[in-house]
Amino acid sequence: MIKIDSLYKSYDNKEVLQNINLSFKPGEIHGVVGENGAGKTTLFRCISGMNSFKGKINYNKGVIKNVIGFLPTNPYFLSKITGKEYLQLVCNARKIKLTDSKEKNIFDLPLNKYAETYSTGMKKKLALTGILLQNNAIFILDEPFNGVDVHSNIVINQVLLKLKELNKIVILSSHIFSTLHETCDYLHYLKEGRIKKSVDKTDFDSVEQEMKASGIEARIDRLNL
Amino acid sequence: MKLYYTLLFRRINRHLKELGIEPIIAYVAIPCFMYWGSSSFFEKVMYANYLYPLLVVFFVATISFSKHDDFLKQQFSNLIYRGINVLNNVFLVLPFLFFLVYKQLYAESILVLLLGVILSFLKKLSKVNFVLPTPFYRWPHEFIVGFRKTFWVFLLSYGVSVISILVDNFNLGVFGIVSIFFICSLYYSNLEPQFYIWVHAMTPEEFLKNKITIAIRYSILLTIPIVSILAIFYFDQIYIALMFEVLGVLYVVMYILMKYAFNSLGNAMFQGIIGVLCLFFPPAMFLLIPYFYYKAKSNLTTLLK
Repeated sequence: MIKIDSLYKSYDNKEVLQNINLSFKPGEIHGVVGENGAGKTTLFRCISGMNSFKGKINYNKGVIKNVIGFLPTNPYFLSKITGKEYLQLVCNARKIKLTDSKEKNIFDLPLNKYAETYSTGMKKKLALTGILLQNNAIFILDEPFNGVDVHSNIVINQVLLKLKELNKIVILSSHIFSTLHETCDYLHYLKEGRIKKSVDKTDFDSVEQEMKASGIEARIDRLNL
Repeated sequence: MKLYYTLLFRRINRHLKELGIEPIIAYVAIPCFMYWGSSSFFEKVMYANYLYPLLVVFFVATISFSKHDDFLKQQFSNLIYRGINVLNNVFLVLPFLFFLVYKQLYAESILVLLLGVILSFLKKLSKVNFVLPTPFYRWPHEFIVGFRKTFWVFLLSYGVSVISILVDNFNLGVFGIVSIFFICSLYYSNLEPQFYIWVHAMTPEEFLKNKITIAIRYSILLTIPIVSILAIFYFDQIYIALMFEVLGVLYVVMYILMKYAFNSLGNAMFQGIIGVLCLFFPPAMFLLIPYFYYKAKSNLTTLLK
């Protein structure tokens, strides 16, 4: 279980996360929603240990960063590295022997080509394959559905449900409510660095309504279309 | 084109200011430092006239503006785009060219200018998607990337070692070994994105040990053909080649540690200065390596537990 207590994060005296208190249990899928710049990615980076912060993040099964599979919004690939070599690299990093990458290539990626030449969706699928091969206990997925084709979205949905079945902790962000409805058990609405609302599946619509009510129509009216 | 160079000039000034250096001071200090560095290089480094053009090539290849390549291609006509690429490299080569002319090394001057121009065309080649097989598959990263970018240097080095036998010049063979270690050390001159460090389930000590072991293994592997040739034809002098092997390994190790020791501002600049100083005075590495190890370990603790 991951328990976050009173987490604060600031950049240059600007607080981007304030008093975050959350807990994530194995076998649960948590969605984090909010506008661009609300602090979702910063929160993910704090949990994964890429960013420093004030407060506490407790994990009861060892060093949290060593069991996290982190999928960034825009995965970056080193130049002149093939898809297969990337998978080898991320497996080596976790001391896992990569066997039969062909069989595990569930997205049918051209693994013998340079990863930097992949399309946005293919890059995301390669990065996702990498963290799935690492046998992680926790998965943090920043916008996993963005830029990915419909068929692969269905595969990702199924993968998420499988991870839940395997008792993994999954935390993801998405701007597509329908996918969150299908996969998540809990939703956390992050606004201006604070958790404004945390709800379970029965109450997802209220978060959607609240987001819509937060002045979206008034802003569109300002355009005088 | 005029606007491009005006903007380039402004950007260079901004970078200098970010580093805390007043541009006018930099424009005076850099040529002085360059003159002093080059003079000392020729005074103190063996095979300087071979090594100097090689240094220039790598300086140009590292500094060249390839990151803007796509942008330039979109904005300018093909002729202007090509002109900018050639001109950029000529500007970069010019100070070295002046120095070589001053030293009356005319053949080397022409070589440096030609290599600079050729490099501006090679940028395009570097974008070729052909996947060059490497012997480094088990531990992908610096050596795979570096080897694919600089494989031609190895062909040249192996060629030089064969020539060293043909012209009966042992020193030329040793130069081949030195150039390979020099190239391998440059694979560690840029810090990888944070994710590629963070992803390792290792302590800082394990991480550094892993990097160093791989680098030693692979750099020695690349010099084996030259050492073998020298061992066959100059067995009585092989201890000299082995001494350069040890120095080469130390040089690569120092570069790895520097990469993580200077992981903040001015990484490449500091590495370059210290790298050149250690070419003048290799024993400095015995002091610098432990210091950089300590510094690198301390920096890595923020990402590795």
